[in-house]
Amino acid sequence: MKRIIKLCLLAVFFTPVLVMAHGPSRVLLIEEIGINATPDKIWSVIGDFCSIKDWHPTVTDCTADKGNEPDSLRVITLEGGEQIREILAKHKPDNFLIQHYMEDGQQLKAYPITTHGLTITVSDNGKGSSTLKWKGAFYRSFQGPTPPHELSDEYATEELTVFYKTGMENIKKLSE
Amino acid sequence: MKYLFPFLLFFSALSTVQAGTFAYITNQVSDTVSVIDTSSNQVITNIYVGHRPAGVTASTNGKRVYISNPESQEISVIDTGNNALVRNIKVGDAPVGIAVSPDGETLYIADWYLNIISVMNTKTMEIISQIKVGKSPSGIAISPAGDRLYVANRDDNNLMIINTETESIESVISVQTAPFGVTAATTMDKVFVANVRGGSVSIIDLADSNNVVNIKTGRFPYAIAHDELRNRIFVTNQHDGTVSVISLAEEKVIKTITVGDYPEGIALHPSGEFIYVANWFDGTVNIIDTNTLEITGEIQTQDGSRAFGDFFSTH
Repeated sequence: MKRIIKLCLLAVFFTPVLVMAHGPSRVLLIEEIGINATPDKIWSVIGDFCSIKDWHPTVTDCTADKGNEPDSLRVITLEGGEQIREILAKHKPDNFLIQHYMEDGQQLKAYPITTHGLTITVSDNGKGSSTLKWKGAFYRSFQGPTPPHELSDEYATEELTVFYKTGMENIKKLSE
Repeated sequence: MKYLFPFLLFFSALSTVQAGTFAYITNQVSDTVSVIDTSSNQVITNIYVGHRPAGVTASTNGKRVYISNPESQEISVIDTGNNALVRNIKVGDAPVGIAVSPDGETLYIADWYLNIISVMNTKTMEIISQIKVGKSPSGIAISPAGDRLYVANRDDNNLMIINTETESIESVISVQTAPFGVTAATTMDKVFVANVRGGSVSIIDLADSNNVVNIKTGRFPYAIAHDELRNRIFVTNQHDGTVSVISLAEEKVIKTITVGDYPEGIALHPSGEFIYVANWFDGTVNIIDTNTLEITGEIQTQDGSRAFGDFFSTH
């Protein structure tokens, strides 16, 4: 909690006049987990754009204006109440692939980032097992070459990795 | 120029063993530059540079390639003769867009945080002056004659034209939201700007009082390549994983080509026959045939291929 307060204070302090601005280079994040279930089974858990509210422990709500249609906008609510708006870019049940982006122009409090995109895929390893892969990318919100730790790429990477892993582990649990 | 070309080829064949055209692709996540021999479309080497390399520009004589590394605040100099790193030089707070003058003597470096263009003498590798520009200068391009520099000020939503002799701002042209990549036409008096958040490109006619025409593209357009022969531009759309092909005569998108994810850097091969596109998310480069507008190849580079700038070098 202390950390969150500190982060919020820092976020307020460092929020640039132009909230659209971001750091100079995008960061890549990749996480994988083996699951003892078929891709079909895993897809039945994660295939719906708004299913995140059912499988991610720290997402309490989700609404999507166009379901799984292209450009559908979902609003997810995190524990603590912050909302994130995300746009569906690709939804391919045949390839077990979902790709979405954070809607432009949001300055998050939970994570020190201004952009985030995520591609989720499931690949078949045969014999009823699969690999769930999350491949994401973000730009930090902090402007300047020496961000404080709580606003750095490294910190954002750590925090987002926790978000990824928490979700992936629960998908595994629900699929197996 | 057409008649000079065979002679140039002849002399370059004399001076180097491996004469040809090479693509220098910055891989932002891997801290490397992949060198692609475009005659075989194979990666011949990966060169370690600074941290999170982004921008690239090649000297016209083919001897040097310069790389910007925003996270380590360095310019990397590559000797194309042996594809080795010559040195890394500290410059500013976040060098992003870079461009070298046609005579090869001056390197212009946009600094994303300091809101300046650093002017570097490429012989001494010292900063000789700084030009104050707008907020978050990102893409820059130099006119074919080297007399003008075009700077996209991303957070001011404009393009600046700078006289390189006097280093003064000649014009400030409003474009749409968050201009990033800038490409100057080689003979026609036009400059092209990709507006990331505007979802458009601005075509600026320098010969017609800097008249601006905006054309809608895909989501998050990033950079532009110009096929002067066919009067088209090619725009990478980061969030769609596509390239929009725009006819300049018709002023509209004539085709949308699916490439890899997060396409960023894009440039026309000097032969005019191909466009190369770096896909950041996939760590690949796609090749587009400028005649058929079909994808003809995919080359595996390394993670975070960005290649922001004119990345071809012929030597």
